[in-house]
Formats: sequence, C-alpha cells, structure tokens
Amino acid sequence: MKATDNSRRKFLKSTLSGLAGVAVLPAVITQSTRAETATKERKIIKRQLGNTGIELPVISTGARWETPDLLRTALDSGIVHIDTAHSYGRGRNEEQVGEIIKDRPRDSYVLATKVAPTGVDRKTGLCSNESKAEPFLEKFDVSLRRLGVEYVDILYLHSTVTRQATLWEPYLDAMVKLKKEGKVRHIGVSTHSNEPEVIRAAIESTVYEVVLTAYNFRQPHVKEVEKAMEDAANAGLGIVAMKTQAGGFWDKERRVPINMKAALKWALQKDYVHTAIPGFKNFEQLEADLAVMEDLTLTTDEKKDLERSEDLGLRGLYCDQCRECIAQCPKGVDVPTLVRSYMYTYGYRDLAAAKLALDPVDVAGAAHACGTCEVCTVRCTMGFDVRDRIVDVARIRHVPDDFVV
Amino acid sequence: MKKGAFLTLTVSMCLVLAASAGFAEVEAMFPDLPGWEPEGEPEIYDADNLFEYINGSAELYLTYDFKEMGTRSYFDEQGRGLTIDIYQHGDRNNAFGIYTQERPNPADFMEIGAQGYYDYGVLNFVRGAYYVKIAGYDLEEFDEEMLSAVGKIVSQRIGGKKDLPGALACFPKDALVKNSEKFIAANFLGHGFLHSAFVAQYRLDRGTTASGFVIAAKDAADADQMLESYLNFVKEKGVSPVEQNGTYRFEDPVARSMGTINLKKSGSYIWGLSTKAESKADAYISTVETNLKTLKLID
Repeated sequence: MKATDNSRRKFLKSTLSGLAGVAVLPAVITQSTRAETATKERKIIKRQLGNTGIELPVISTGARWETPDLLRTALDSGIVHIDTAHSYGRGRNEEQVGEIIKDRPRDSYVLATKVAPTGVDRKTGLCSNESKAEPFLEKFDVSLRRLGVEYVDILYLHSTVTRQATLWEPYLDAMVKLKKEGKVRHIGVSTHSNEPEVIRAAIESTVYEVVLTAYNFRQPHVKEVEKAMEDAANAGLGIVAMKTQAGGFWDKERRVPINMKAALKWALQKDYVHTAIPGFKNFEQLEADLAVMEDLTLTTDEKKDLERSEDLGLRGLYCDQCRECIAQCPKGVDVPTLVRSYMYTYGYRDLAAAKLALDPVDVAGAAHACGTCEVCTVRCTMGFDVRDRIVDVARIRHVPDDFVV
Repeated sequence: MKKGAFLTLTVSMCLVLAASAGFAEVEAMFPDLPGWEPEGEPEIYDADNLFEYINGSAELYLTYDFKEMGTRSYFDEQGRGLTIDIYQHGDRNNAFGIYTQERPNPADFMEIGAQGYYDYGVLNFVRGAYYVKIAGYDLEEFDEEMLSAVGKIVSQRIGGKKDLPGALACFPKDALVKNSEKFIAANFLGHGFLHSAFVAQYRLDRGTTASGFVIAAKDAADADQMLESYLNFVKEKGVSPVEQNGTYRFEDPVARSMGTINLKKSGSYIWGLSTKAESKADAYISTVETNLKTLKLID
C-alpha cells in the first residue's frame, strides 16, 4: 500500500482501499481472505438493538449493491448487519447476498430479510381473508434457500401501513412459529408509510422486537415518527431507520443532490435510532457512510445543507435560454421554449404562462419527435434532461383553456 | 390567489400530472381481454409514490430511469385472476436493464416482445422502453399458456421495435453464456465515474469465467474522462496499469472479484474483459473492436 499522509480523509481512503476494515470483529479479519492490512482500529459507534441482545454499528447496509464487491468491502470494513427482502429483484438480491456470505462465519454478520403479507388491500392497507400464513411461510422457506442459511437474525413482516395489518394474527402466529423452530431469531415489522401507527401497533403487540421504519429530515410528520420511535425504544424494541437520504435529491428531476452524509448523520442523532440502512451505490458512498460510522457530528455546513429547500426550489428549473440545444436536436424541436414552459409549470406553478409560452410551438409534434429518438443527443449546458421535460410539459396541451386562469 | 382560481389551478395541475406521458400512455396499454373482467381502472404510480406499490424494490427501478407504471387486475367467471404491471422507463436500454436485473438464469425463455420468460406463475418481458410483469392466480395447469397469450396481446399493444439494445451486438458470441447480457445503469463496478455499461458473462476453458463489458459514453470527451478517472483511481491506490497497443491491464483494488481488468478505448466507447484467464483478453478486445467498427460505432 502506498504511503499516505496522516490526514483523516487519506487515511479513510487508504484504509478502505487496503481493505483493512479493522473492524471490532477479529474473527472476520482472521478468517477473511480479503484483509490486506490491519491498520488502525476503527472507532465504530455501536448501539444496542433494543432488547435483542444484538449490538450493531450505527451503519448497516440496505440491499442495493451495484457490484458484489461493494457488500464484501462493507463487511470487511466493519459493517455487520445486512438487510434484504424476499421480493427484492425477484429474489436475485437474496441470492446475491447468499453468494457473498457463504464463506463467512455465521456469527460474523446479522442478517435480516422481509416477507410481505398477501391479500392486502392497496388502498386501505388492511389485510383480508386472503391474508394467510401459508404463502408467508412458503416464501420464507424460499428466502432461506436463496440466502443459504438455516436461520435469519431478523424476519420482518414487510411494509405494513396499518395497525390492523401489523397485528394480523395469522402472520404473528407464523413468525412466532418460525422463531420456535429456530429459523428466526427476532421478529420485526417494516413500514415506510403511516409510520407512527405501525410503530405503536408494534409496541402494543408482545411479539415484535424490532421496527424498521422510514425516517429522514424531510418527513412532514417527522415529530410524530420520532415520538413513536422513542416510545418503541423505551419499550425495548430495536429501531432501524431506512430512507434516511430522503430520496437523494431535492428536485423532481433528480438533479440537485441532497448532502447524503449530512442526511444520514441527521437520522442518527437520536440515541433511540439504533442503526440505519443507507444504500450505497458506489465505493465513494460506502466510504462516506463508513466515516459516519465513526463520527456522527453534524458540521455547521452540513446543517446548512439540510436547510436549503427554499433556496433550491427553483435552482433545478431555470433555463438561461443559451439556445445551444437547438443545433443539437436532429428533429428541430424548439427545446428552449418547451423547457421554459416547463419552468412556468413546475417552478412558478403558472399554467397560464406555461400554455402561453407554448403558443408558437407544435407541442404534439415535439412530443412525438422526442419519442422516436432512442437516445437524446441534446447536451443541455444546465444539465437538464430536456427530453424528459419536453415529454412532461407536452401534456399541457390536454388541459382545456377554460381550466387555466 | 382567489379560492376559485386556486381550485382551477389545482385541478389543472392534476390534469397535467395525471395525463399521459409523451410516448404511448401506460394507461392506454391495458387491453380488453376476452373472457376477463378488469377490476376498476389501472392504478398509476410515478417516481414519487412507486414505493407504495413495490416498497424497497422501487429504489432499483428509479436507478433505471423509471417514469411511471400502471397496474390492473382481471378476473374471469371462475374466479381466476391475473395482474398486469407495465413499467415505462426512459428508453430501451433502461427497460432492458431493469428486466435483466430481475431475470433468473436459466429461465424458461419465450419469444414475447424483445425477450420474455415464464417463472412459476409469472411472465415478464421487455419491449422498447417498457417492462411488463404479468402474474396469474389459480390458473393451475393453464398458467403458462394463459400468461403467454396475455403477454402477446400486451406486447402487440405496446408496439414499436422488438429489438434488444443494439450494443449487445458488440459482444463476441464465442463462449458467451446465453442470455447473460445485462445493462448496468450507473456505478459500473461500483465506481461513480464509470456511468453505465452493458455486460455479458463468458465461460472459458477449464471452467474459468470472464465478464465482458461495453461502455457507451456520451461522446469521446466523456469516454476520455471516464478512462482517465479510472486510471487515476487505481494509481492512487498504488496499482500501476500496464499499457500495450492501447489496451490497459490492471487489477482493480476494490472490485477485486473481477480478476484482471483489460480495457481499451476508441471514440466514445470503452470496452473490456475482466478475467483471471488473461490469455483470452486480447482476442476478446480485438473482436469487440471489430464489431464496433462493423456497427459504425467507432472509426
């Protein structure tokens, strides 16, 4: 490994690249073939997962990895808890996890998966007579096979949004049965909607030991979520946070990124959030998450970054009409005018202005033209996805003039 | 703003937001199926609320430039049911990409759309920018037959070309694992600077495997930038790439399961082979280069 200076950033980079991952799990390092060096021990912040008896680093891993090497590196670097689900990638995700963990000691990782209830009304979130234990148990057995393990540490009832579904007896009985059989160590429920109701139902039951919930700085009802989580933690439940990065972008076009490190730190400020499962899509993001695992301090700049929603309202929308796009479009679409109309629609919420802007444009022709190009050749100087905006704003032609003030 | 005007604006905005996308509307693709009664209108989900339909799986779809999707269930007189989900993505590559992320291999492949397969009560296929998933309930022994018939109707309704992404023609056919091709939308090899890539698996002599890849950059400058970033990254980690006749070879210090990375760049394309069997790499690189020239993708 190349000699580096002593700056924190370079240490973290070189530590990651050297795959030292000097985690506080000597068994992993001893048996891992991946650790090239054992340098400075990481000062990993850990919390107890409720009354489960499991102590976890505050950073765990969600289920998306662009390459298996990302998960391997994460595990080599001190991350312990892996979260997946029966339905992710139609099973490919559990298979990928199984492939990666098969050569690791079973006690070197904490594995969670989720199985969804069936027969749930999508509009009401309520279980029905079709919500039976049998399909649930069958799916779980498939999950165990894919993962290649005899048990999971946490099994979640996947994604409930009501008290009724969370306390649905056939599923509670099924999970208790699996626990008695030794196939599940701890029972949990996951939710990313109507979180306070689900969390309180979990407290109410005597079965749940862990709650996995959406939690981030942009939730409109974040105070209610926090109160529910705190009450759950005080009742002995483990709290795992997901969707901590609030979608990753401030704007609909996904052009203005949220400071992901700041968002993650924010979610872990409360001690009753025992761990978070951010998804890291590349090694840079993993490195940032590992840094958070050692230091949760929100800097002044990071706090400011999380308060920028007002400033950023229009930043992702303003076209400066440089007109460089015109020559780049082989179909002669009036890109500047259409993108300006888009700004009126979504930035200023002024449909009248948006429609007026489109008066000289063959909107239907533009939308059709965009639909026939396999790849858009316009490289907007503002970085906008112009085809996406044109296709979107072209829908305005369907709005009757009578509806526009 | 006066209340009446506000309500009008709100309604107008809802109309705009609920209206169809620019190319064919997802909602309009749900067919009438003889003998089947649809249950209500299609439910439409977009990037903001896809989580409500497929929970954590939504994240992967968003990576593949998901635009919107519709779902609709049908029932027949005997109470048998099927659900059709139609996902619209930004383009053919992304639809193919998300389809291949979920595709098992081996699979019971079918000629529906550009490619499709049947798998235990489910039929999935891709056509153009659309990824379609059809699930049957209580169809029993008619399951595959019925889902196939329905799939063909939906495919016809989608219309347009049935081709798989053109870049797949670059991959050499020799030793190619059939139907292993995938499209990775972003962060190829876990590197943020590598954007997207088409990949394919190869089975070489003595059970050795290899992964081929073709990266189509936006333009030559973008390709230059990607290659430079990659080479700088590995050098910073203490690895020295070896260059010979324009082909670079090195072991990626973080994506170590890939073996040796062998890659070359020309124009807006970067292609390569990652393998532990380095002797095969040159022939692969050369064949892809020939294919790219034949397809007029490079000079």
